[in-house]
Amino acid sequence: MKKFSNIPYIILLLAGWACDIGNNIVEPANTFAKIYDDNRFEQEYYPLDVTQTTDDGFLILAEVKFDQALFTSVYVIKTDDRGEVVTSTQLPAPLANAVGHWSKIAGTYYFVCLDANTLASQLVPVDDTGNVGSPVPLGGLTYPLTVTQNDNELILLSFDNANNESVISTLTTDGQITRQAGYSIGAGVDVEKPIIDHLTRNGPKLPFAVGKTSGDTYYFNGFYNYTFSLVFSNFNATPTGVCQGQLSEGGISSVINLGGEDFAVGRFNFGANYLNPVTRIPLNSITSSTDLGGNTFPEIEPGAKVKLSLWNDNFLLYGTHTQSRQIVLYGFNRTDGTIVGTAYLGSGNPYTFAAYTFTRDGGIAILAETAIEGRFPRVALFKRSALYMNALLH
Amino acid sequence: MRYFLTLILLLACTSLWAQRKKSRGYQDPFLKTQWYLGFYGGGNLAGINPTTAYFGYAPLNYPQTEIAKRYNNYANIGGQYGLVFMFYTEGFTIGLKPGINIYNTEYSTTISWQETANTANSLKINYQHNTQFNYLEFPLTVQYDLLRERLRPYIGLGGYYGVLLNAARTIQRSGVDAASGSAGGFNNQPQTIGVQDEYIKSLVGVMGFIGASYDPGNIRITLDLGYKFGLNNIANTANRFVNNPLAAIGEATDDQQLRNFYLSLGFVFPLKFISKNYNSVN
Repeated sequence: MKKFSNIPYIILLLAGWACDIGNNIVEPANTFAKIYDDNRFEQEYYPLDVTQTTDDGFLILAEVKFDQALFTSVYVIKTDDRGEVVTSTQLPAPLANAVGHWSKIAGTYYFVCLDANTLASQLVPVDDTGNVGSPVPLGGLTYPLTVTQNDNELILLSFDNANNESVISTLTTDGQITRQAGYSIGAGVDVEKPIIDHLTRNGPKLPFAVGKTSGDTYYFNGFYNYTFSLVFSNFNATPTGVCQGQLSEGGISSVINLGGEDFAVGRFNFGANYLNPVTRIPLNSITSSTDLGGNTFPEIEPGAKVKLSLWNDNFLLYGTHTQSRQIVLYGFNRTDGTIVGTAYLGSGNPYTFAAYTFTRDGGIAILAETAIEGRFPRVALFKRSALYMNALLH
Repeated sequence: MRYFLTLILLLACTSLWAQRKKSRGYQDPFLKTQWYLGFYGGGNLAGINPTTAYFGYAPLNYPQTEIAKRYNNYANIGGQYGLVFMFYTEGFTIGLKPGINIYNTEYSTTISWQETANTANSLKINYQHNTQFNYLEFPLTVQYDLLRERLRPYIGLGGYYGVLLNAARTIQRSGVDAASGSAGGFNNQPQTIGVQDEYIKSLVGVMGFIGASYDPGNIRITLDLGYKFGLNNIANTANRFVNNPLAAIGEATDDQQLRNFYLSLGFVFPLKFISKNYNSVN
C-alpha cells in the first residue's frame, strides 16, 4: 500500500491547479494596455496627459505632428473604462500646441493650448463624454508653457517673447487674470532658443512646471536670469527665492511641495538624473539645484520626463522611462525617502513616459508614447489595479 | 472543476450499475472482469473557440474588426502519447489514460497603414501565429463494446483534466512595404517565444469517441477516433495585458476554449490469465 501513499498528494496538487479556473476572472477594466492606432501613414501622435472621468473612462490629451507645420495639432481621446475609444477629436486650426495638464473645475475638464495665429493662450473645456467646447482666451498671454490647478484657479506659466520674460499668472476659467508677474529670462537668442525649440518640438522638451506651496508662495520651473531655475514668487517684481539650474542643461525635472520648504524633486544635470524624495529648498534665498543631492539613477534616459505625486499621503511615486525605453515607476517612503518599490512596464516597442493619473479603484493609469512597427508614433495607455499599486507602494 | 466531479460521479454510478447486474447473472464475478495495462499514441487536429475577443490596439479611425484574429482551426497536426489503465466488465470498460498531448493552433492578423495624400505610400503587415500547447492530461473514460467478438467496435464518453506544461508561439511576419520604395512582399524570419504566462495551468473538458479493438491473442489493439471539447477558458485573464511579450504588435489573448479531433492507436495487455490454457478472459 505504501506505493499508493502519494496519490492523495497528487489529487491535492491537481485540485490546487484546478483552482486557477475559478480564479481566472479578472475584470477587463482593472488591468489593460492599449495602443491607439491610426491607419494614416502621416499621423504622428505624442501623448501629453491623462485623467479619469466620472464614468471611469479616460480623457487623453495628445498632439499630432505634421512635417510641414510649425506647431502640433491638438488631439483629445475619450475612452471607456477598458481603454476602448469612445470619441476622438482633432481640434481645428489655429488651435495648436496643447500643454499638459488636465484640470478639473466644477465638473469640466480643461487644458490650455495656443492660437497659432495670435500666439495667445486658450483655455479649452471638455466634458465627461469627450465633447470639446469653445476655447476661452487667457488674457492675451502668449506661448503657454505649462498649467496646473490650484482649487478653482489655474496657474499658468507662459513665455512673453516681446519682453523675454517667463510669466506666471493665476486665472479663472473665464480667462480673467487675477495675479501675474513676469521675470526676465535674460537677453540674447541663446537663452530664447531652448524655449523656441521646446515650443516647435524641434529640440528637447523642457520640464516646465508651476505650482503653489502650502503657504502663499507660488513657484515655477522655467527660465529666469539665463538659467532653467525653480523660481519662488509672491507676484512681486523680483522672486522671493531661486533654486538655480545650469543654463538649460541642469535643473529641476519634477517638483511637488510637501509643506513649507519641504519638497520632493527630480533633477537633471548634464544628462544625469537624480531623484530626491525628501529635500528642503529655501523659499527666500538663492540656491543651486546641484546642492540638492539625491540618488543618481543612471537607468533613466537623459531628458526623460519625470512625474512625481504623493500617494495616500505616505508614499511618493516617480514615473519616467529608462534608457531601454521601458516605463519605470519608483515608490519612495515620504518620511525617510527610502525606496519601497520599483515597477517596469512595456516591452517589444520602445515606450516614452508621458504622464500618469491615480484611478478611483485605487489603481493607476499610465500614459506613454510608443512606436508601432518602429515607425508610427502612437499613444499608449496602461491601466493597473489597486493590487498592483499596493504591491508597489507598501 | 464541477464538470470533472460530475464526470467522476457518473462513472461511479456506471460501475455500480454494472456490478449490480453482474451479481444477478453470474456466480463468480471475478471470471467476468479484466484489467488492462498498455500504451497509446496518435495524432490530433486542434482548434480554438474564441468566446470573447480582446485587442491590444484601439483604432482611432478604422473598425476594430479589421485587426481581428482569424483562426485557422483543425489545420495543424499535433500528437499525443501516454499510458492506458483499463477495467473491463460485461462490455463496459473504464479507462484512465494519462498522457502528453501536443496541440498546434493557428491564427493570423493583418494591419495596414496608408498615406492620405499618396495612397501608394502604404504598409501592410500580416502576422501568422502558431501556438503549440503541451499538456499532461488525465482522461477518464467509459466505453461500451457493441460486439463481443475478437474485433469489437465500441463507443465511449469521458472527461479530462489537463495541466499545461509549456506553450510556445512562432510568429511569422510578412507583408508589403510600398512605403519603402518597393511593391514586392517581404517575409521575415519566424520568431519563437514562450507564451506560457498567457494561459492558465488547467484544462478541463469532455470527450466522445468511437473505436474498435482487436484481440490477436493476449493483447488488444485499439484504435480511437474522438473529439475533445474544452470547457474552460484557458487564457490567463490576469496576464492578458501584463507580461505580454506580444503587446507590441497589438496582441491580447482572446478568452478561448481548446478543442481537438484525435486518432490514437493503442496496445493493451490483460493482467489476469485465468483460463485453462492461460488465455486471458476479456
